[in-house]
Amino acid sequence: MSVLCTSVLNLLTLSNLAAIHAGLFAGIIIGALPGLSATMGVALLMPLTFGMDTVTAIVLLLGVYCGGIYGGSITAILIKTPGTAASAATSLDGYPLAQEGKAGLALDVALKASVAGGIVSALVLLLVAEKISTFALHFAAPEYFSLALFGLTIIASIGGENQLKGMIAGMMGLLIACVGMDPINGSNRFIFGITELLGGIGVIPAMVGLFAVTEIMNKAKTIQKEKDTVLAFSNERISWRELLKSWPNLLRSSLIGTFIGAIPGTGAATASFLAYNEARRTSKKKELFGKGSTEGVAASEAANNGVTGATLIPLLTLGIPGDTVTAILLGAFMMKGITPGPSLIESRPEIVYTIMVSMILINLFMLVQGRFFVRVFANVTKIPTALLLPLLITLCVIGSYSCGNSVFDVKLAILFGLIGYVMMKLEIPLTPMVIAIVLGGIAESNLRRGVAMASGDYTIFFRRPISLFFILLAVFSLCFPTIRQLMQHRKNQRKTI
Amino acid sequence: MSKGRKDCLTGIGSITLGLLMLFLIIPRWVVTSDSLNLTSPDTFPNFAAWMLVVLGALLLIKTRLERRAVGEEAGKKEIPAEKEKAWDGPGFYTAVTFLDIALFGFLLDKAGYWLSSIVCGILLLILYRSKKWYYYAVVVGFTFLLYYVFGVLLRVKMP
Amino acid sequence: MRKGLAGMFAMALMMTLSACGQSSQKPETIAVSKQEGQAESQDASAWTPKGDITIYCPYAAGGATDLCLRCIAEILSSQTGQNVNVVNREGGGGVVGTTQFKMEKPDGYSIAMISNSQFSTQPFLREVEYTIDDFIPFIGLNLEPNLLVVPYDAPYDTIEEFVAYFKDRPDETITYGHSGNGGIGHLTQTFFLKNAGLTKNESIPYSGNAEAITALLGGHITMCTANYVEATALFENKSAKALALIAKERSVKDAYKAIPTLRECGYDVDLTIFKFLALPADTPEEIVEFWQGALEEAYQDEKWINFAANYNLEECTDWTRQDIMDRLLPEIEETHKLLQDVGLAVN
Repeated sequence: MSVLCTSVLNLLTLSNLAAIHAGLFAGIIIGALPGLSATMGVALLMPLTFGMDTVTAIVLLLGVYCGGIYGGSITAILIKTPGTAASAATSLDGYPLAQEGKAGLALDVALKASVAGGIVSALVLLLVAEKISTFALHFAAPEYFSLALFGLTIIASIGGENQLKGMIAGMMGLLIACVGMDPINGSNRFIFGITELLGGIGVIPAMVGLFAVTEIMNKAKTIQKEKDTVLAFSNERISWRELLKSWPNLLRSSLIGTFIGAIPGTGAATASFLAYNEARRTSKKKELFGKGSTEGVAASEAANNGVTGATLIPLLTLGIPGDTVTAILLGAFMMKGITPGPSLIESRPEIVYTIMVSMILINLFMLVQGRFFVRVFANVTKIPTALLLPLLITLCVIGSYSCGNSVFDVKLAILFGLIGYVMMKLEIPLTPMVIAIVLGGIAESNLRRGVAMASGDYTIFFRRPISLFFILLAVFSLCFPTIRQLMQHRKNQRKTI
Repeated sequence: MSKGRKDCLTGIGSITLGLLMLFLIIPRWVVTSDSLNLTSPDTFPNFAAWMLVVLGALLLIKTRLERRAVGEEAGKKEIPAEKEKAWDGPGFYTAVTFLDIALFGFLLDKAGYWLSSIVCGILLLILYRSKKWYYYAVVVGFTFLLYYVFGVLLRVKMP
Repeated sequence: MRKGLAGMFAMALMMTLSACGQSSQKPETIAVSKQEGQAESQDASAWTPKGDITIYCPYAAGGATDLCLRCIAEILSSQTGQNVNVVNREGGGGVVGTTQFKMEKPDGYSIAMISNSQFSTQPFLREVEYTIDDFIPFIGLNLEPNLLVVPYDAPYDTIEEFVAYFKDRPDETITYGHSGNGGIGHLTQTFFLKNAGLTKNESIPYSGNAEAITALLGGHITMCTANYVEATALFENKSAKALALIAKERSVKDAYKAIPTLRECGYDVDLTIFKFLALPADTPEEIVEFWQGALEEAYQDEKWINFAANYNLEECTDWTRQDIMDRLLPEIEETHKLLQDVGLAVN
């Protein structure tokens, strides 16, 4: 207990608080800008921490990380361009809401849900980190595969009435995910002689293209009639009480995020899609999803911020960096000569606990900063279309350039824009493609890794309990819509009889 | 285009793409070695390609069934609602926007950031027949802003 | 209307030109003493940089290499008085970034970090569009010898015990993790197991060594490799122990002095990754000399020394161009043979 008190006191120094605010500010902006992800933000700001004290450095970077993941939702809602892959699901319902003039509402829901998710995650980190990390270590290739498989089954249901077309989009997405160096073999796949493709097709250029460029082209249609019109914008807010009415959704999504975050190697994007899908499945207002459901926005945002605290679990308890951000954090630690892990918990627990507590503070501060940003960014809706489009184009181009410092990514984004436009015209849902691009690689490489681990024995996926659990979930998720339709059918039949 | 048409097109497109993949693209562009590993790099792509064919076929069948159902209900009368609406595809503005974006992408490494962004931004406004002068100013100003944010603050090297 | 537009264009053009002019005089973002920078630029006959400098890193941000470069970038920035930025271009095990660097102008404003694997392994695994002649390596950076690690509670402490243990259990499969086919981790472990006569093994490739280490800690694989930076965390947390070091000779670092090299244990392999800095070919000699001097000075800087100490880096910062080539060229032959031996070489 006393350690906890010391940590809180440690935290509340002026430089730490300033660092948190600075980090959040930078993080939200970076997260909002399409093309720059939260990860990049942390990497870019890391050198600034060289001269800082350990705790200050770490909380700065954590502020950037949390802010970055939240920031993506702002542009996702306003211009359908998720600033980070994690907010792709947010744009599905956030953007339609904005189009209806309810941008303020959507932004507010996103902010509050993000904060909620972040706090749940931080509490889990603080209270049960060690137990979770032991559990997370059980995850090996077979488990990763079945988890990704479960995520992929979303493709089948998210198409709504265009289910078959959604699955087609998903398969195309899988093919796209296979471009690059084979993860197991190292051999070239679909390179077409272009060296840049060796790194695969990045999620960000693909998303910028599929979502943003497509939407820009779509909006261009309206120029003829409504050149200078402006979207209505209401400053509608949602009160905490109102939001908390859907607490099962919030809690579940945050926990999904926390769970996914604790597993090294899975990311916020996965979490947000899973949570979105679950929210949709259990919602009483399913029809709204995809057309402007605040539940959807809340689910996606709670989950992706729910990842933030939990990502620290493997790092702080075991010293393992689960993903790029934690790898950078590990680097930051080591720069100061500190090695996170059990030895640090033993020798200097106050550092560890200070960081854990800081997550709660970071999320609270995010609430404050978020309000400010929402007010600023919301003015985007006041920009008339004819002006907005050229601005957006420049933003998207520079955004997709900067994520890999390569003009090739820009061309990719443009290509995907064309693909997205065609898909939109043919009423093929775009989301399954994005999900497949995000999850396809994980699924494939872990399937093959699992097989290698078992020396060719495919039953390994069924013999391991966790893996079996997720496979069953995947099967259930696939069959659920059909079963529901059958039950509905039977109900209808009974009515007519 | 009616929904049925769209579905049909999608189905055919999917089957074509799948077959193309299976017989042309995958064998040529996926390098498989006499592998040391138990699984092959072309398993997943082949699976996805087969699914494309299967799903495309299912889609076509579904469209045919739906058409038949609609046809039965509506009798044999010509379905005027399905007649081609006014061309719903890319209009002038959409095409122009896309070309502008493509031009931007093309110019970016040839002409650098400043030139390509300003040219493309102003070009688009002209093509939109925008009369308000301050639009142009904002576009140029935005270019500066982006340069500042990305190039200076975030130290991203601009082309 | 037309005039208005023309006026706009003119204004825009002027603004553009002036902005371009200004951008090369952006103030330093790090306030440090400029004395060294001024001393450099007073030597009027020698070349000095007068604009932004970019260091290209062909690996992802956040990795140990990336952090090294960012530290150096900071030091160089205060040394030369110019902005020095690190740009990541990852993909293909470093191939994408290296290929793109080949096309950079040899004007002294672009430096790349290259690792020997770009020449000793990659060209034999796929078609690459560069050769060693496209670059001028001018100074070394660091060596990354790998350690063979196993979980801390494994029932063997040395290579001999390991081999004996598994010889006694011929039905148990040894799974070894590494960061990708053709990588040094893969090659060395395959070679070791083959020469030790342990034929029941499976290679488990991961995308990045961090994943392999995570799997090791979870008990899902038998062994893997780790470099010094990764190993520091593992040893301090007592999560893993090292069986051997894969290098030409024993480590000078206290933490690793006691670990025998694989060669000492009787296996003839010592592949090590080493990283160096290079300029595009055709860069004028005086520019190469300038950078060589600048880096030599940077390596003496306190910041770097601290960084290297904290990170447990094994530096080879005193390697000159000749040293690098002397080490690299024979290694290309050696690795080629090894790749063919293991069956991975396509070229």
